Order: sequence, then structure tokens, then C-alpha cells
Amino acid sequence: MQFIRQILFELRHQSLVTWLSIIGTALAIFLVMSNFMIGRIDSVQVAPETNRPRICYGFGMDIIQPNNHTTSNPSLETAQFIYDNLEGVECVSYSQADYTTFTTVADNGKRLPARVKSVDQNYWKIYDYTFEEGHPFTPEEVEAGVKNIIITRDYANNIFGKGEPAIGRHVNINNKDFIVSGIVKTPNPLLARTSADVFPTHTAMQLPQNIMCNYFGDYCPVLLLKPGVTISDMRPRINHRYDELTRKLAKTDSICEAIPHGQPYSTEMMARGVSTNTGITADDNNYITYLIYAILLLIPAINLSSMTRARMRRRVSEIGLLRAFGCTRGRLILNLLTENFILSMLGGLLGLLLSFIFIMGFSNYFVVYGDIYYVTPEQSVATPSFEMLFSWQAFLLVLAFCFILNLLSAGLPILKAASINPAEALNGDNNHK
Amino acid sequence: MKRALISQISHEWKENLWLVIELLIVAVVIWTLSLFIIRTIRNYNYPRGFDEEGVYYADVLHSDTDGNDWLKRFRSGECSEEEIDRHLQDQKALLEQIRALSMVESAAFGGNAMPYNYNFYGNDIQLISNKNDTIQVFCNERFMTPECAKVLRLHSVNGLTTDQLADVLRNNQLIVGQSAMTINDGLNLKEQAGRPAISSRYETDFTIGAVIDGIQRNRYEIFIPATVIYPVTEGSAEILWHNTLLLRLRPGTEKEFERTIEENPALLRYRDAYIDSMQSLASDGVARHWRSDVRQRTIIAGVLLLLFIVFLGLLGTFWFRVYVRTSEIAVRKSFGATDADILRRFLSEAMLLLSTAFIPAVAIVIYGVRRLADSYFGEITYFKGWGWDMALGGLLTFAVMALMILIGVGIPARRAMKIQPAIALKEE
Repeated sequence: MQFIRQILFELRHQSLVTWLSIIGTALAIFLVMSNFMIGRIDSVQVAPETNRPRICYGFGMDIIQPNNHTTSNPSLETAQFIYDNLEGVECVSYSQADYTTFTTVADNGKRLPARVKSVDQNYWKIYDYTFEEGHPFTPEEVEAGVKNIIITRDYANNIFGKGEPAIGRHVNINNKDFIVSGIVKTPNPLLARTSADVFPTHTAMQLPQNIMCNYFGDYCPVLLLKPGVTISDMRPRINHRYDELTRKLAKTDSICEAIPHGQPYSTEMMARGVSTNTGITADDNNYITYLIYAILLLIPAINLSSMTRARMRRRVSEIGLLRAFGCTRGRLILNLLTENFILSMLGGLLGLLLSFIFIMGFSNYFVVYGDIYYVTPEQSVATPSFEMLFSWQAFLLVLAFCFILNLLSAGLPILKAASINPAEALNGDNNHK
Repeated sequence: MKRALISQISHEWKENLWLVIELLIVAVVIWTLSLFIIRTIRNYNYPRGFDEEGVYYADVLHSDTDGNDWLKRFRSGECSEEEIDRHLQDQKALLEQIRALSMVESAAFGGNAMPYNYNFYGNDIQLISNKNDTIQVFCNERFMTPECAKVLRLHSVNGLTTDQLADVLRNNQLIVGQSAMTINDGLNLKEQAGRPAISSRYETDFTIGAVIDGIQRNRYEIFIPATVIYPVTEGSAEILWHNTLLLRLRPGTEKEFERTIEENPALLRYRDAYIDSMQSLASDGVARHWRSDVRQRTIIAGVLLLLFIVFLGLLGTFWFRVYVRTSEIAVRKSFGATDADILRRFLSEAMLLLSTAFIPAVAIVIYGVRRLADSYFGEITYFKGWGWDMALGGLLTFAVMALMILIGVGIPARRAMKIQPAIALKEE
């Protein structure tokens, strides 16, 4: 209580410097927390991507031939050659790498552009979509190429009308007639790997193969690793399969080399931008992230340090008096640091609130979420859901950042202030350095 | 005056050191970001090689008798000659059907022809220089029927019109496109017009009929190789490998065109050849560049925030200095110093600190940060003349930081100017 009273007193009597300290802290925490929360969206476990820590992707393929260098996604056959029956994998799905936009035509005559993503039966095991009606594809349905589709609730409402039955209705996609067999809760459009409107079986849609050679296509294998298995465990196994692919292709197509580029990739790595011809170096990105955090904390800390110094300077005689009445130096430092920490927390909470407001209200203008390279109108206005942003971890981090900021900015000025000679301080020697 | 200023700065050296460190970090960060911004502006304004307004495109699809994708069967080599001929006729008829629309100015087929497709579909061609040397050039390959030159309004560097460029393709000659990379690497393709070239893809000799500005695959990226455009005829089976339909609308007819095809879906089908939906290149560009657009905004917002933080720091620090130096200012004023002298004193102090911070900043940016900028923002220092970009970035950084100093220091300095000597000294 005494600390709060002291802060209120300072807000009245040293209003500019105290407010600048609070605003400075708020700004620093706003920057750091906005960065943190935006980064968190790429790894947060939220339906239908609850299994994210165990999900990884075999995205892209890079093949070098004499006088030719081609990068693309693999065909189904190539993807199965590399990723089938790998040790440490609980389940693998061979689904379309992204999606294709088709003009879909419903049995009521309504035409609607839709993002169509062709999938298999395992897709529904890896991703936990909420089925509102119907059921996931069975292996038999996929094997037989049954023309069934699973659609999202939003798409069902838009094409059939809100409250209208959708199961068993017909939708024409790319000249083929499909029947709705399931309706799932619409995922957040920012979950780029799972956001689409219509999901047919890949066997019914017949994804195109690359125009030049049959080992390229439009598939992206999705792996669900067994608990305890890491991506690093998987890399040598996948490299080995790539070596086998190189040997196999060399017999028929004079292929020089099929390059794995560090596959498989985690959801976070995919969000940071995996390239089919270079892969990704996660360490580089971590290094940049830590550098950004350090800069975002260090610059405000220097600013706040001079402000703390200014506030301490005004309290020289009070500090001298406390020292003269027997307050130990350690006790004085602890009191001043606690007082400053409460002030930092005030700024920190303001900063956290600002970052929530920023992300919920303005992130469309300033933030690139996930591995979205071709933005849809839904994605361009989408914001993260509250559960994607909110976590107790965020509060703990604010506490930790405020503490670090407090030590960085107030440590030296408070140590200096506490070392004042009581006699000089009471004598009004305000020029103590 | 100068001596007194330096002496005062040295008296408060600890506090000034922190300020210099802060200014140094901010200078380095803003300078690095400014390099990226300058390069982005240069890239954005680099000739793109085409004109996107009014261009629409779509893949031409073919259905089998059982409703499946016929092209897949065609590409697997399972189709008879008669079948291929029938589908080619369907596709050609579909093109004519669209050409006949009053809104359509020109229409064509192409393969990998569309800008913004972010494709790196490449192969070598061998050029023969005027000294009879063979030059191997890696090219992004594009395939076009003659009218494509008119649809995309390709930009000839030799002054040819789009009709003349279409004639070049009609005469089975190649069009090659120079890029910022080829120019940077000292390869002037402009001189190759009329000279022979050997294609690795077709293993045949061609003549280069025209040289154009290479077609960019992104508004921001110019790290692309040269372009080679291979001629394709509208009726040849080859077009089935690359069947994108491209069209240019007459100015101001976009809405009418979209309404017409929405109300008459039959226009987009001829027997077994059909189009699912037409896409405007301009709106496609917006969707494809969204990520880059957001990134530019984020970087500019980051620079502004950093400047605001510097402003806050300077404001706080110099406010405090005015408070500490009240008596000193009063004494100066009582000895005849004018308001302008007081303002000049504070501003000189801050500018000297900024200049001090810039000395190590130059070394850090030249030897350290450009590597970071290269790896994070792309090869910023790849192009010749990046040194000038660095200098321009440094000047801009200094200018905006000096502006922050003028504001951040100016406010407390004005407070100092209002100090009445008699009152201040009496309080002392």
C-alpha cells in the first residue's frame, strides 16, 4: 500500500517524468508482447491444429537434372515413396499442398467460389476438426474415390442458406457431382494449413500431376509423429529415403539428385516461410527474433534509466532522511526497486492491453500470419480468436519482461541513489552524481 | 562556446554515454531498415515488362467422357490423335467464343506466361555474341501464342510495337527479356536482337526476334534471371501442355465483362473444353503481394515507433537536464545570453551526441549489418551501386533522427528559455 501511495504521489508531483516512464514501459511491453503473441499464433495448439507439436510437413521437392533444376510439390507416388512406413510416424496424410479455388454450383443453382482442398482419411485423424454433422472419410471411401465432400459450416450456410439441411445435398465442383457427407465447424482462416471451404477425397478430385514429369504433383505429406519422436529424429530417415529416390530415378530419368532441404518442417517453420528450393534454417530466424527482443527491451531500458535517474534525483533528501534514521542500503535498494517494479507493472499491463487491442483491431494491416502466401478475402480481414492469443504464459512473460526492464533501467540509478551520503543529501547537495 | 559545450558533455559523460548508445542502436536499426526500404522502392519502380490493367486469365480445363480430367490422360500419353484433335478444336473454339465478346480487345493462349505466378520454370539458352562467343544464359521460360504480346503489352527495349512483337512470335522467332540481374552481371541482351540462339529445351536454333524488359514474377522481387519466350501456335498440340487463356479487355469494360460471364456461364465452355472462373491479374496481384505489402507497412511502422521511442527518451533526458541546469541557465541569461543562445546550446549538445553515435554506426552498418540485411531482406548488396544506397540510407537516417532531436530537445529547451533569471537565482 505504501508503494502505491508513493506512486500516486509521484504521479502528482513529478507527473511528466513518471508518465513518460509508464508510457515508455507500456510501449516496450507492447512491442515485445505483440511480437510474442503474433509469433505464438504459429505454434499455438488450437482446433483443428491441436496436435501441432507432433505435426510436420514434407513440403516441396527439389530435383536437379543435367541442364535443368525443378522445384515443386511431389506427386502422390513420390510422396508415398518417401513418407510411407517411416519409423516414428503414427499417421501420415497425403493431401493437397494448398487448395484450388473453384466455382462451385449447388443443387439450388447457387454459384459460389470455394477453396477446395483434396484430402484422404488420415487428414481427419491428424487434424481435430469438430464434426457438427456426418463423419470423416473412411479408408474405403478414399480407396473407391467416392464423390463425397465434407464442408465447413460457413460454406454450408452461404451456399444452401442458414438453417437449411446440407447433408446429402449435391454440389458440382470442376464438372463433377459431389454429395455432402459431413459438416465441420469453420476453422479460423488464419490457420493456413487447415482453412478451406470444401474437402473432397483426393482420389475423386484427381489432383493434377506436373506437366513435365510424373514425380511432381500437388501433394504435401502431413506426418503425425509418435509421442516423444522429434523432427530431428525424422531427418536422417527422410534423407535416407531421398537417397533411395535419387538412385531409383537415376535408373530411368538421368536424375542427378533429389534434395530434401532439411525436411520435415514443423508448423512454425512452415509459417516462417519454407522454400521448395532452399528449405529453411530455423536457427537464423531464432537469432533474428532474439535480436529483435533484445533491441525492443534495451532501447526503452536506456530511456527509462534516465527517467528513473531524474525521479531519484528529486528524492535525494528523502533518501538521506531514511538513511539517517537507520534504513540499511539493502533495504533501501529493495524498496526502491519494488516501487519501480510496481510502476513498471502498471506500464506493462497497459502495454499488454495495447497489444491485445492492436492484434484484434489492426493486425490485418501490419501482421503476416502463418504460411499464407495467396491471401483470400476472408484471410485479409481475419483476426486471431481469443483462445489463440490468450494464455497465462503471456502474463508471466509480461511479469518477467517488466522485471528485466526494471533491473536494466532502474538498477544503476537506484544503486547510485542508495549510496548517497546522508549528511550530503540532507544538506541539499542535489548535484550528487 | 564549443569548448564549453564539450566540457559540459564530458562532465555528464555517464548519462551521455547511455544516450549515445541508444542513438547508436536506433541509428543502426533504422539505417538497416532504410536500406531495405530504398531497395524496395527501387524494385517496385523497376520496369515490370507488362501492363496488368484489364488483363484476365484462366486455366482451360478439359473433361473426359466420364467427367474426369482429360488433360491428365493426355499428359500420360494415353490419347489417340483423333481425341487430341477434337480437344484442340474445342479449345480453339472456346478462345474464339471469348474473342468475339465486344469487351475483349485481344485473347491468346500461354504457358507459364502469367506474371506473378512465382514460378521458376527455367532452362539455358546459348546466345552468340557479336564477337562470336557463346554465352550461356539461364532463362525463366514462358510459352506464348502471338497475340499474348498484345494481351500483356510486352515492353520492347528496341522500340517495337506490341503488333511487331506478335509478328516476331508469328515468325517462330524468340523473344528474350533482360532482367536487373542480367544487366547487373554485365550482360546486355539489347544487342542480341537479330542474332542466333540455341535452346537447350528444343535443342534447335532460333533467331532472337526482339528483346523486351523481362516479365517480373513479383512486384517487389527483381532477383530473376532473363526471360525467354518461345512461340507456340494456337492450334498445336503443344498448347495443351501449357493451356492458360489470357485476355485483355477494352478500357472501362471490366464490370460489364464480369457481369456477362456471371450471367452466361455457357460462354466459358465449348463442348469438352471449359473454364472454371476468370481471374483479374490486378486483383490477383493484390492477393499475391499481400504478404509483401504487409511487410513494407510493418517495417515503416517499426521505424516510426523507434523514432517515437527516441523522441520520448530525448524528451525525458533533456527535461531532466533543464531541471538540473536551471541555475546555470539563469546565470547565463543574467550575463546576457539570449533565448536563441540557450536553444542553440541544447540542440548543439544533442546533435553532437547524435554525430558521435553515427561514427561507430557507419562501421557497424558497413561491416556487420549489411550481412544481416542481405540474409534477412534479400541480397540488398548484390546490385552495383549499393554503396550509394547505403550513403542515402545513412543521410536519411541522420536527417530523421535530427528531426526527432529538434522536437524532443526543442520542447524542454523552450521551457529553459522561459526561465526568469531573478526568480531562478532567488530560488537557488
